[in-house]
Amino acid sequence: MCFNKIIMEQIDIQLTAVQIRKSVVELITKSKDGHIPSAQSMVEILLVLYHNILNIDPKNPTDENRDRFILSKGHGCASLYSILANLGFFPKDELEKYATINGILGGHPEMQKVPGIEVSTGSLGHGFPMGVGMAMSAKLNNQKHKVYCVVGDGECNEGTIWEAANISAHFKLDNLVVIVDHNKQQASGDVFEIMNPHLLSEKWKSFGWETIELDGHNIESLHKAFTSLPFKSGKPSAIIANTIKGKGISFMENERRWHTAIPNEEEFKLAMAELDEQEKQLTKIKGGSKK
Amino acid sequence: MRKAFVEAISEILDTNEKALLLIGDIGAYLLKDVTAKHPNRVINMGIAEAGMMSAAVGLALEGWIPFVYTITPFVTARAYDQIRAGVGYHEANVKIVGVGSGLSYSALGGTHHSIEDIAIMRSIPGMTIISPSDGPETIEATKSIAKHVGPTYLRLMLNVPLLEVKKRKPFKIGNAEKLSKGKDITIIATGELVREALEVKDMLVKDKISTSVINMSTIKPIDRKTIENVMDESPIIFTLEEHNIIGGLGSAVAEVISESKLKSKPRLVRLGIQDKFTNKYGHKNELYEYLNLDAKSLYKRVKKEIKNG
Repeated sequence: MCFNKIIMEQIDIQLTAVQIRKSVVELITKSKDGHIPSAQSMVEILLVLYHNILNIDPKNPTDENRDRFILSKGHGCASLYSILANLGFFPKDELEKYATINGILGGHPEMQKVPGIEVSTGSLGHGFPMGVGMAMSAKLNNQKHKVYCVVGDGECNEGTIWEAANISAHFKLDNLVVIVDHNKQQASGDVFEIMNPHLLSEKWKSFGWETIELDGHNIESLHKAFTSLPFKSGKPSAIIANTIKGKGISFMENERRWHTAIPNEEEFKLAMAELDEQEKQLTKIKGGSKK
Repeated sequence: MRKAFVEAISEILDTNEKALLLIGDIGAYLLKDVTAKHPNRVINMGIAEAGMMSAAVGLALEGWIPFVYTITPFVTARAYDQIRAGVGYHEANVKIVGVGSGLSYSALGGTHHSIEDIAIMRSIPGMTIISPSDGPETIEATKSIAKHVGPTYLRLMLNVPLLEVKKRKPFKIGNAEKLSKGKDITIIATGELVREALEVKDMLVKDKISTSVINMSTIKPIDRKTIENVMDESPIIFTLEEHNIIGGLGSAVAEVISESKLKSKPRLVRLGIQDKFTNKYGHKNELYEYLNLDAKSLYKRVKKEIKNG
């Protein structure tokens, strides 16, 4: 398979990230359903993967040699939908129909409906363990593709995450990558107060994973990590990505109530104004760098 | 049944290169020859049934046919959420195999009994449920489900003697098997208790009561036609199962009778475990006696119900 993807420059990813964040706010405000901050914290992770790393073809989304991507924290799907639509996995007008009876895009992603979605997630602790089966399959078939899973730090409360982590390391699944979106917040508040995960990097390491920790909004760090996979032959790779929940919208960042809150008209305008300003600045920088 | 399953899965692995056997650290000794022959396709997933079930979904989505094998309560109840949101929701071609169902692990106590599995598995949309009556039927059923595409649950006991029936009908998913034709009453049984049903039928002969015995080896989709046929013939229908009477075979038959347009509405008596955990130890036969599921106790109960009309 050969997908002529356009390798995105850092500034383009930054700019696209803002546009994706605007789309997330629009989608969820309009439909009054969804999780804005969970979608915002992983935008750079998704963009670097989808534009620069994953071997995928929107025109042939079930090619057997494609890389598999699983959003195990399915509730953050709004940003993934925007990225998939931009890449042409499905028509952009599906975004307009998000969370409606006639649309294919729901509050959690479904593989039977949405091209580019590998497994249906939403129930936490299910996506990554299904990805383990997909990585086992690639090993059995002697295929070279990788399986990437984004899991939430709150999701790491689930026991099934650790069963799957154990199984992956035991079977030496070095074609499997977990990115923990460590945004430090879960539904009721601070992850360290709700159910202390302690040091997530140490935890994954002790389960037999080769683990690194990085800034999940730093495009260069993400790119460097993704191009060094597997970190160690014979071991699955874990990336603890430190992120900010609600990134990009100051009043939503790290604010518990925004986990499921829907902006009112004024809040929507404020959020969009902040993102517009960021877009303006980045466009200026981009223009300057071209000169 | 356990040995019959091993025989069948061995043949399936020999002939179908997409078949896999995932085990939850159970049966390693029984499966040692199969494992030696197919070291890459017999995979011990450890004691992690939820993880095993989700991995099976991932494998099935990639085109494999994973058989997921371990003790019944652990491969059904413990992994229920993975079966629901994984196997069921993805319509994944996973074969769930519960060994030691019902009271099979008699002396190990209630944690190892499984009297709710049919009920919970029935409630999953698209799930096919197979409950064979003896070894030969287990072999046929296992081979059939390997060819059937879609989520399937195979409910096995442990060591069940051969059913003493002269001529058996070939197993087919969705078809009940009428083992005897009687004009007075009908017993619809499943699993190992089909044997006790046949014994009750023989005991009733001396009372001049003739009994139809039906082996309901597919519980879902249930064979409506066969049930409706006996509705016309029998004023009383008994169901017999090694399962809670709530949610299992008895409930499935009750649904058919209630919804049927036939004018004849026979009375239904659900024989099985009467909505209680069995916190007794001993041999399985002793538990059958304790729960009135042995042929002798069943005979008395059937006679009483006939007398009461």
